[in-house]
This record gives sequence, structure tokens and C-alpha cells, in this order.
Amino acid sequence: MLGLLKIAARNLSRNLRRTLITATAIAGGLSLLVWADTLAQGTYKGLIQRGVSELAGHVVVQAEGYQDDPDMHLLVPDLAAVEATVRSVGGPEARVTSRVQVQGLLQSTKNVSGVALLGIDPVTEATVSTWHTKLVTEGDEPGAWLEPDDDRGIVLGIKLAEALEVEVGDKVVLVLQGRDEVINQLFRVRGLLRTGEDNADGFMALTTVAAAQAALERPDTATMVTVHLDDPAAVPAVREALDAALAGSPVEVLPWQEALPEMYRYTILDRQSQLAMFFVMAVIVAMGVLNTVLMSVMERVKEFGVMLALGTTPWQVFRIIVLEGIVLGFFAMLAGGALGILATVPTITYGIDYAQWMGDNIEVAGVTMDAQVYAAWNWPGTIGFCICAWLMTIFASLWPAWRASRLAPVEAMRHV
Amino acid sequence: MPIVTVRDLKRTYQQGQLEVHALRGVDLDIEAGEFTALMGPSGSGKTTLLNQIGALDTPSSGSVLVDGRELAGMTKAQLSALRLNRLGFVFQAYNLIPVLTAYENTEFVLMMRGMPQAERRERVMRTLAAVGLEGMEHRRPAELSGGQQQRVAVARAIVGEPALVLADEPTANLDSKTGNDLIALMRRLNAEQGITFVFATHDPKVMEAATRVVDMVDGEVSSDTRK
Ligand SMILES: Nc1ncnc2c1ncn2[C@@H]1O[C@H](COP(=O)(O)OP(=O)(O)OP(=O)(O)O)[C@@H](O)[C@H]1O
Ligand SMILES: [Mg+2]
Repeated sequence: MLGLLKIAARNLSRNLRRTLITATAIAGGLSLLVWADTLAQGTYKGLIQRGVSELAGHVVVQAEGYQDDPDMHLLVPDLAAVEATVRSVGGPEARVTSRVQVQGLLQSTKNVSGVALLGIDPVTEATVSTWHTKLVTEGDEPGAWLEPDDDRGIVLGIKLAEALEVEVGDKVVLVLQGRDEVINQLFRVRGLLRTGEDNADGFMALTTVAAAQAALERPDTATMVTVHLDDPAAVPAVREALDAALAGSPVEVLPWQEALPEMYRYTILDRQSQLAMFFVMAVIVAMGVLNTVLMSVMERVKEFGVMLALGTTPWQVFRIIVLEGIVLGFFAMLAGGALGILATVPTITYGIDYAQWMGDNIEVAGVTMDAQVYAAWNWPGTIGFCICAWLMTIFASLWPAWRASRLAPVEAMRHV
Repeated sequence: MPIVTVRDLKRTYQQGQLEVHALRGVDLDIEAGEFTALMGPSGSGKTTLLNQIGALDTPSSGSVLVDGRELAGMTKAQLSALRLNRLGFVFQAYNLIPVLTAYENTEFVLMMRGMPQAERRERVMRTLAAVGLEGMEHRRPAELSGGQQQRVAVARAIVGEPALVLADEPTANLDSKTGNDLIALMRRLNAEQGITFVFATHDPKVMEAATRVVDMVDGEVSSDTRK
């Protein structure tokens, strides 16, 4: 075997230029794959992170039927009890918060606008999402985040505030249709949010949970109780435990994949189309490799004829050529893997600015993506692609090897 | 028992519509230790006969026995093993493996046999010395003259101590001095190591050195002389 390996290695070094070109093609394709894969993983991760933190949680508890018909009056009852259960089931690793969604009108002395109001717990919300970091702090009246018991305070999206022509300190009135009569609730603007997203900046307002409950005339309820986990792999277990613990209540417990089905589908479909593209690329490279290996075998027909005439078995000839593929593929794999990892480091550290191609507001399945996308290591993928590239090179040498092993020695030796 | 027994051997090539009778019924025995020159005009069937004896080609009819075993009854793997272990080949065009050095070309056959490295080394060095190539072990074929390459080919043919070496016009590409040296070398190996040689050749010098001359004409043996 070692002897055959030596011959294979010699053969590769004989036409070093061709060997290097072939290896470069494999390594180039592989490194591109590794790079694109980590970027895609990072994109999905960012997207999921964003969607999960702002629109849902890793696990979401909401009123039964809310997922199919998101009516703002469909609320989780006995919020205090449900939240306590969720906290005890989730354990110390889980961050839990409750949100109340209210659609209504917001009125200032000058103007009126539709509003998507979100009642939040200012303390726990700040542990799961990033809105509190997006307060506008410049200007002569810097805003502040909501205080926990500030049931008269409201934080407005910057464009909503502009539309209403209000500033920090001004009054606004929430107007919505109550059970019996129109409800008017007075708030004072505490701060302004600049998220960079048109939807949030133009229509979002944050109040305390209690204030939103009051607007709906439903104390001790919430639209959702969300659980945020550090380890997304724990989702199924937490979901199952919550399901069991909340069995008696009229609520549904959903993992984020079900709570954000469009986003989940998007990541799956995008991944599939990407893998299909990777596959096509691999086939193209493999055909190129097959072609070069075949060429290099056909150039050596006479040599293989001599080997066969001397008593080398067809199987040994076959192995010499496959070993060439193994050696070539091995080094191409090392080079391509290393190059791909090296190329990934900057996209992980500094990220890539998608905005330069796609504008500021990239919305994917209802979730606004950060324009700056960071790649994420995906070692199983990286190692998998490396091994695939290696196997592909070996596969590409099987057919030429088989052809060579079937040569008739006398005719092969006459070959020029 | 002769090393090679050929009985009523016929080989017909189909060339389009035309049938070419390369061998028309050859009978021949080769005994151990013989140094046989196969002579005859171009196209008389010398190469065809050597290929038959070397199990490189199959007959149209008749039989070839090597070591008393009928080739027609052997599998491909057995024929490979026979060529590897019992036969040595020297081709007209040297046909060395260009990426391997003189040493490695000679070693090739032993490596294919799976012989341990130390034993291989000893044998290869001894054989290369015997053919007068000391100091050139690490040269590739391209760095050797035609005569030196053919010596490597002879070394490769005899290093495995085969029962029989088949050589197809080994001196045809060599100048007469180099050819003479090579014939002398093979004659010596024949005398000292008892290796049996069969040559296909036009070279009168080979005929002079031979202990037996078999003349072929038109696919048949026309005369067979032992000196
Ligand atoms: N593969 C083949 N296909 C068809 N005809 C062939 C083939 N090989 C040999 N022949 C024919 O068989 C006959 C014998 O050829 P062979 O090569 O054995 O002659 P030779 O005695 O070795 O000649 P030379 O001295 O020129 O080498 C020739 O007529 C040749 O044309
Ligand atoms: Mg001939």
C-alpha cells in the first residue's frame, strides 16, 4: 500500500501544474462553500434571534386559538399564576416576560395616528429584547426608559412622534373601542425609540403591562408570556414541561418555530435552496476533476499497460489511481478548509453590511433583519463540506481508475 | 519438464474483412537454462508468439503451458500472478515507469509481490550492480541513456528471479556497442544464474550468442537449431 501511495504521489507531482490547478479548483470551491455556509448560518441565527426576542420567545404561552386568529381580546387569563408557573418550570436559565398587544389610535393635540401598542414589563423586557438600547438620547429633552410602575408613561417610535408632533414630556391619548364605550387613556411621552425599522419607528408604542391591561379592561391578562433561553436546543424540553404544567389552562404553548411559522419556513426553504446550489457547484467541480483525472490517466495508458504486463493486478492499478484522488483530495480539502475558515474570520468579527446591496430595511418573513450580518461558525457543516469535497475527488477518480484497470496490456503498450 | 510447452498454437487477427494468420500452428518446447533467439522476417509472428507465452494474449486455438500449467485454464488473477512471479519481460521500447527512479523501477515488481523492504533493497542493489548501474540508482529514466534504460529494464525483468525472461527485440534501439554489452550481460546472467531467456530479434549478434535459434516464417517454425 505504501508503495502504491508513493507511485500515486509521484504521479501527482509529475504534472505539478495540473495537480495544483485541480487542487486549487477544489479548494476554491470548498472555501467558498464554507464561507457562504457560515454566513447563511449567521444570517439565520440573527434573524431567529431578532424574531424570537421581539416578536415571540423561544417558547410562547398564549391564549388558546390565538395563533390561528390573533384577536387582541384573546388573552392569557390569570396572568400572575401563569407567569409564576412558567418561571418555576423554566428554571433559573429562562428569562420570562409578558406582553400585551393593543391596536388603537393615538391622539395628540395636533394629530392622530394608528398605533401598535405593546404593554411590557420594563425590567424583564430589557433582559430579552433590545428596545431599551434604542432610546433617542440626543436633543434637549433626552428620553428615559419606562419605570416599572409608571402606568402613565409611554415610549413612542420616533416617526410616530413626528407624525403626532409630540416630544418627550408631551401628552398623548390612546383611543380604542371598549366593551361598552370608547376608552380614552392619557399618557405622557417618556422617551422616543429609533430602531431604524419603518414599522417600529412609525407605529410602535410601549407602555407598562398594567396600562395596556387597563386599556383592554382586562386586568391580570396578557397576549403572551414568552420564555427566552440561552440554549435554543432546550426548546422542546421546556415546551413539553410547560405543556404539562399548564394543562388545565385555556392556553397554547408553542415553540418559536410554530409561533413564527413564516420565519421558520423561510430559514428552512432558504437552507434547502442553498444546499441545492452547493450541490450543483460540487457537481460542476466534480466533473472538472473527473475530466482532469481521466486526461491524466489517458496520457499514461502505456505505463499502465506496462504495469499490467509485469503482473500488476488490475486491482492494484485501480488503487494507484484512486490513491491519487485520495491524496489530491486530502490536500485540496486541507487547503480549502483552511482558506474557508480564514475567510470566515472577518465576516464573524466584522460582519457584512447587507445594506449596501439591499437598503436599510430588509424584511424577511415579517422580521426586519439587521443590515449588518455576522457569520456564525458551523463546525458540523464545515467539517461535512470538507469531507464531501474529499469524497467527491475520490469519486471522480473511480471511473478513470476503473477504465485504466480494464486496459489490455498489449494494446495499451502499443498506445502512444 | 520444459518451462514452456507450445502445442499447435494458432492466432488469427481479424482485420476488418481480412483474417491475418499470425501463428499457423506452432509447436515449441523451451527447456530451463536455454538462451533462445527467435528469428525471422518482420511479420513472421515473433512478437505474437512471445505475447502468447507471456500470457498477454489469448490463442485462437492450441495451447501454451508454462511450468506445466495450461494458460487457458487460468483466471485473470492467476495470470497476473504468473507474470509477476514466474516471468520477466524486456520490451523493445524499454517501457520504464517515468516517475520512478532506476532503483524504484527495478523494485516495482518486488513491491507488487509484497516483499519486505529490507529484502527488496538487498535484491535491487545486487541486481543493479549485476547490470552495471551502480551509482545510477536514483536517476529517473529521462536521465539515463537508451542503453542504461534497457539495462534497468533487464534488471526489472530479472530482479524477481523469474523462471523465464521474454525479451522482444531488446537491442533494436541500441547502438551496436551498447547492444553487444547488453547481450553479454544477459548471457552472463544466463550462465551464472541459470535464467532462461527467449528473444525475438533481428540482431545477428543475438543469434551468435544464443544456444538455440528458432527461425520463424509466416507464422510457422521453419527451423530449430541447438548449438
Ligand atoms: N493486433 C493486431 N491486429 C491485427 N494484426 C496483427 C496484430 N498484431 C500483429 N498482427 C499481424 O500479425 C502478424 C505477425 O505480427 P508480429 O508482430 O507477431 O510479427 P513480428 O515477427 O514480431 O514482426 P517484427 O519483426 O516486425 O516485430 C503480422 O502480419 C501483423 O500484421
Ligand atoms: Mg515484433
